[in-house]
Amino acid sequence: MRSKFKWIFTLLVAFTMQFSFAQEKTVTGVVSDELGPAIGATVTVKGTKNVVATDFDGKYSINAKSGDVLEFSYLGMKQTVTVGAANSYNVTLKSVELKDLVVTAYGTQKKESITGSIVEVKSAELQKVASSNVMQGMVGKVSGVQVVNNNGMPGDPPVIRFRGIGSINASAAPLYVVDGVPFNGDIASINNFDIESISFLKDASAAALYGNRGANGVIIVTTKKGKKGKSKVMFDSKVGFSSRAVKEYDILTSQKDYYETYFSALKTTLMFGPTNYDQFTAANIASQELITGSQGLAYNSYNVANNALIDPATGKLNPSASLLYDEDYADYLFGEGLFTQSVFNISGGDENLSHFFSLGYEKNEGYVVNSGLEKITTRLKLDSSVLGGKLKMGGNFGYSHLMQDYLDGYTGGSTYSSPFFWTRTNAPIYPVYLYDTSGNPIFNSSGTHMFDDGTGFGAAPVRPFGSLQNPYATAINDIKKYQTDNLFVSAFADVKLFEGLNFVYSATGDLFNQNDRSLDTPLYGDAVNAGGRVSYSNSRTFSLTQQQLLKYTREFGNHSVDLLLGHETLDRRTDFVAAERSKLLLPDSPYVNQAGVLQSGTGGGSTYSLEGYFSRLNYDYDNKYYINASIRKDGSSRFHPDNRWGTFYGVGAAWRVSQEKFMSNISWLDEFKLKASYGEQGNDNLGLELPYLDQYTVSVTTDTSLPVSFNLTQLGNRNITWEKKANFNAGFDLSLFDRRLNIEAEYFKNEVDDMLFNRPLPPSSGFSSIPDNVGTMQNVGYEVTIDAELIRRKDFSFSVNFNTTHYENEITKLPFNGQENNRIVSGLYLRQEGGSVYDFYMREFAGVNPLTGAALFWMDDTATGQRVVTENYNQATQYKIDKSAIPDFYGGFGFNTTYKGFDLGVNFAYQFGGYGYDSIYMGAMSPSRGENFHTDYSKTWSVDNVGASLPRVEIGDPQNYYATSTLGLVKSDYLSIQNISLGYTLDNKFTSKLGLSSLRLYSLVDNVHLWSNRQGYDPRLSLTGGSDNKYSLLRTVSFGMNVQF
Amino acid sequence: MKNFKILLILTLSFSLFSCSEDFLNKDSRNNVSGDQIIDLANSSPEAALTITNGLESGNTLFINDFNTAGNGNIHDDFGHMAVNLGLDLMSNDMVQYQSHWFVNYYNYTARNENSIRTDMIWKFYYKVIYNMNSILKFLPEDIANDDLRYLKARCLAMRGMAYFNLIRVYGNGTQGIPMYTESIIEPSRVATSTIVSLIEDDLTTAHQLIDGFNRPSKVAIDKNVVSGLLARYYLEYGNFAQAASYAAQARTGYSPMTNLNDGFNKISNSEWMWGADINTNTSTYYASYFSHMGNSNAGYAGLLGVYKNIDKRLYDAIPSTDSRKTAWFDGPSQGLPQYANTKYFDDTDFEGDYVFMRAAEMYLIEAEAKALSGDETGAKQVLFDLISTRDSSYTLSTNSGANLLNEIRTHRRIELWGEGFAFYDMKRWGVELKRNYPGSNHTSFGFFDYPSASQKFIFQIPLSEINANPTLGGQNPF
Repeated sequence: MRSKFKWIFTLLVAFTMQFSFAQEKTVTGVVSDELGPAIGATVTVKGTKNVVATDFDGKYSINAKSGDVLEFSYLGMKQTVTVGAANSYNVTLKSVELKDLVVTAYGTQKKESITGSIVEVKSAELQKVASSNVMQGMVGKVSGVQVVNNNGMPGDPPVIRFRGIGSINASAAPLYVVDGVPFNGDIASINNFDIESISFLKDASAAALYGNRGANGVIIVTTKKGKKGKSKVMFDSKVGFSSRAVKEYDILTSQKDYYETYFSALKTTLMFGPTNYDQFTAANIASQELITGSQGLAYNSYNVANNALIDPATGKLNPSASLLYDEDYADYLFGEGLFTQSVFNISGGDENLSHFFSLGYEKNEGYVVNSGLEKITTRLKLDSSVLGGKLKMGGNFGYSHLMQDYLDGYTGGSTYSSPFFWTRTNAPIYPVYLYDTSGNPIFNSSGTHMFDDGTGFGAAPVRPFGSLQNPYATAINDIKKYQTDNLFVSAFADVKLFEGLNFVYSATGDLFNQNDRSLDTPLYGDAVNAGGRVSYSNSRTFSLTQQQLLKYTREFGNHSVDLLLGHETLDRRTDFVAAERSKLLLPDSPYVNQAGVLQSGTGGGSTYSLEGYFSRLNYDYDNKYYINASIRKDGSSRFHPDNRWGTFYGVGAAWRVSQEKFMSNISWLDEFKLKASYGEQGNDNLGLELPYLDQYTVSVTTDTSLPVSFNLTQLGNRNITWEKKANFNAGFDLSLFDRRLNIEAEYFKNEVDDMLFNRPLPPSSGFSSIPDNVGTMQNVGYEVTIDAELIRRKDFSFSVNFNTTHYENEITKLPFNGQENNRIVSGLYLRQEGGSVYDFYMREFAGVNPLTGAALFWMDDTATGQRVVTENYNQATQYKIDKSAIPDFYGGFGFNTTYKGFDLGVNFAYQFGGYGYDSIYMGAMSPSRGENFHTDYSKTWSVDNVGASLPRVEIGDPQNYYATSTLGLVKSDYLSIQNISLGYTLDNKFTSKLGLSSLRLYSLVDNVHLWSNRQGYDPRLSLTGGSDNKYSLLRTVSFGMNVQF
Repeated sequence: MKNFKILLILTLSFSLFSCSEDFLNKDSRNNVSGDQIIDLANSSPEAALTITNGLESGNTLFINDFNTAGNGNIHDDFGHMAVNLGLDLMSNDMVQYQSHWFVNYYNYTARNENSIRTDMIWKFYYKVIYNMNSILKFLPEDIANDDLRYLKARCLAMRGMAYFNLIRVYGNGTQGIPMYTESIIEPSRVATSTIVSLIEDDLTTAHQLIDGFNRPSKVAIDKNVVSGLLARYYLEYGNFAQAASYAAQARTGYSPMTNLNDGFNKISNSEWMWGADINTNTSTYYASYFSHMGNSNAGYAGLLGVYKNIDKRLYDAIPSTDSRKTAWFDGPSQGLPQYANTKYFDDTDFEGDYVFMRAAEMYLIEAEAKALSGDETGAKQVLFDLISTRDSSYTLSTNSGANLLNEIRTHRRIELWGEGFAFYDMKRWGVELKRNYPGSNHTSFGFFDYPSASQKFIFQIPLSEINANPTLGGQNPF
């Protein structure tokens, strides 16, 4: 048996090894690593005390017998060779890949020992993310984790949700942990190239150690550190451009189409309502009053008379009319912006000290004027080992500086000065620059062509849409800038008290300072009447986290124990100050002291502290059976002393079935692990700073004769305490065919308990609600991750990956309110026991009256109890619609392939089975005077199109036909190509001549393409698939070079 | 020895870093907590005055604040004036030109139980009542201190006004509304008469207590204002002699304004008796009265064309010699449509002041009350005293009976257009809502009629109250 085993083993190591007799001889060779000869590497004959070291050329010489096993060891790298007939063995050591070690709470764990649900994304993937905030690049990459890019502003933090909906009223955002310490800054402050890995902790067993704030998942970011060995230098630089990734909605773009469509809609308007004209009279009046009437457009951009623009009989533009001007705001506001990103780092170390240093610079102009980002990052990480390894000390110093120009309305909404709202809402007939009624440009006294702000300056008419506004003029004259400094300094000392027992103390200071400087120009826009406005605000958050950890690890026999005891405190203080003045002396100076009228001055802040005691035990037996258990007790300053402590725990078990003897003869099975975990985590971020105290707000005045004015604005509840989330997770890991096919599947059920709600009070009592822990909700679902390495050859590889997540959300308890299922209407959604958080609730569109084009809606006839149709929107009943904003499935897939020096990776993301409410579309179907139309106008009812599927369009939608109803629901399914990376690594022979260890040329494209149910509609921008006038996503196309030596 | 060192390090480190309970006690840096207020109140006798005065002053700001109901970024919620404007839009006299903010009043959906507008009105006035009660609870029954006595009077008057508006909006015949005072908590709907007598008690007590109060500015309620509130009250509830008498008392010291084209935006106006002084600190910008009402202001009306216009019939009823006729456009002008109002405009950056009470109303109350109580001569004279300042060719009325009453009421509608009286008057006078008439300038989203005393003129109680108050005692009809 023994000899057979040995035989197999030998065969594995060297295929062409010959049998020979055991005879002592001198074996020689050269040991090298990737960088060249390894000096001082040790060579040991296994099982003996026969040890030698390599010399300056990496050479060794040792006595050994044929059949002996030589162990080569150098800087943590290890390799073995069995001595055969040959007398010389050259060995090239490869660095130990950390792929089997996964970063977990307060440490690392071998992947196979994890009983919970952790997904790790490694640096190789992260470096392909061109976005300034690495999380923006995680869409579709991690099963169970929904990453929603709010908007395309470079660096804007995405919304991240783990496994369903974490909370309704409290924060549902996950906890970020950087290098073991809960992080209070902005992830965009960490350069993507500085990150070694990101771990997503999805279940209780994995996240319970962050139990106090881990209820909504934990994201652990680990930054790189120097590895032992010669210093390596890496330089990566890319340059490219940013453009708009998603096409605009299909709105009218030509002036001719707009006049004709507006004429048609005006005619329809006149045929109904108080005027009630017949179609011919209506057409004549519409033609007569198209420009000058009470619903007129005011601007005639053609060279014919106002009442000769449209032929009332045909509804067509006068063929002899020609344009006086044609300016599209989008041409002025949007374009392509420069994108460049460079990173330099140097890392290395010896037995006693390792170092990692990096510098990064990034500039992204965005595709909208004045919306660029500039970022500088730097990091130094040092780890030292002294007293023969008994004391380890280290530090991590990160600093980043971000400058972000922003625009009005980039987060959405209907701000008139927002370029996004404006370009899709403003009719294409309104020019950017000012013209008189004959089409002659109007100049100011200094001879510059003025911008048209619609106020009718000079001989220009008054624009009925967005008078006083010109978003292009304001975008280039306003100054809006965030500057963020993030300083992250962490130091630790790790003392080995005796074998297996270490004490670690760490202190981390995190200083986040952001200022916001804003100038609203006095020349155009909102602030004209105020003479311009300038404001400056500064927010400074300082957080100090201290940890004391006792770690004990021991292996005896087949037992392995890993015990952790810890204590952690967090003290966080935010100070905020802001001042605003109006009436600028200098129209372009953004400094508060240079303006004349005080508008406001505010100063405040917040404080927060946490203290926790925790412990974890990891135990495994024979690499087969694993138990991870942890418990944590935390106090939060957000709660009353009587209710501030919460206890959270998690316990998980795993069984590596594939390690069992009965499985050992299945050659194609590499790993089969069953696992299950359960635990409870907490959430103290209820969105209220001190919810247990009554809150009085002091009002400000400049009149010193008045008393200090204040109001009770929020009732406190002494009983308020932690939201709790109970998590159950069960699944398996499967690796087949030499680990070429890997499948992970998990079932999860999480129940949120003591969910924060504003418990209703009768408003007649003076307050309509009080915060309280009422309500429960659960998310049940599963997720599957598959990756397969279909081709694994030296010169050619091809692998695919796929992940999907499905979950059902159910509210199980709501505060009592006397209603059926304690239902609460929240905007578009009905929340009730037994339903989900995002069940749509609205009026139900029932079609179009073919005689009048009126929209039909369903209503409950109170007299008969029957469902009947009505044309009166206000009478229509609001129903719970059997559609939800929660998709059935979401996830991603992709492939990676290499051929010789080439590599190509493509990532897709998708979701399907949900619905979104497309308010942008509904707005473009019901424009007011001077607002633009969607091209679907052609599908609406008119006297010429009585069979139409969409209701008639009247200016301003007086009958609410396009107000909120199921007509606005659209499937939020999408498929997108998130990014493509293509690279070529030059042949080593060539690069080594240049003195380089590696040279790679590459190209990256992100936000490549989107397939959705409607042009312009991007369901990725919202958790609920709703549409908004946001900074639509950026596409960056870049070309880069990565050099290492 | 080695183990001892280790033990020492461990003990030391845990004792150093383990924190006291104080570490988790944090004070707010923005708001002031209830605990801090209580500590302050206990610190000195003077502190009680600081707190009560501060709460009253806080309420004075609250009544013109944005988002009083906490329903979010709702630009037709800016307190008392928003209610006034909304209710006016439910009358015959005002036209909303475009479907936008406030359209829910104009199209009468604001009164539905699920509307956030009825929610806002209900919450707003009950919050005022809460604010006043929390001060009144602080004050002793018998007050020796003058300042505290005046404070109590002002609080009672304010509470009286809040109940007066609430009962006229929500009272359904004899079925009233919940009643909260400094000593009574009655979440069930009490009889209308109970509320009506509470208002009378509050106002008359205030009238006695406030005697001698010399207010620092027109922002505060003084004896004239309390008299004015009493005049309104007695006119509503049919005690015309009292109404006329209090109205006359109220306007003592005030005379009709001479410049009617000042935009109605300055509290310094000689005719104004009570109002709000809006400045950079208190301005609510786009969510403000002038934003919605000033057709030439850079707000919703001026920029987005959500014009507020006068009803054609009322406009036609204004004699051409009447200078008030110029408060509305005769035809399209300056980019504005016919009937657009120019009565309201704000020549500041959203710092236009609000008027809550002015002398002209008192003339009109006195005239109407005298006409109703049979003193037609007195009525005509009071009417003449006011209208002759508006129309130089106006002569003493020769009307009598219903015609005289009609003349007074027409002048009331013209004079007080946009000031929050038209809806209450429509109900009080038993007038129908008639928007569909030949030549009507009402817009299609409000083009309907309701008969006089329609139940549509009674707001439904918001669902937030219905749902949270099981003892309420019933909803108003749909």
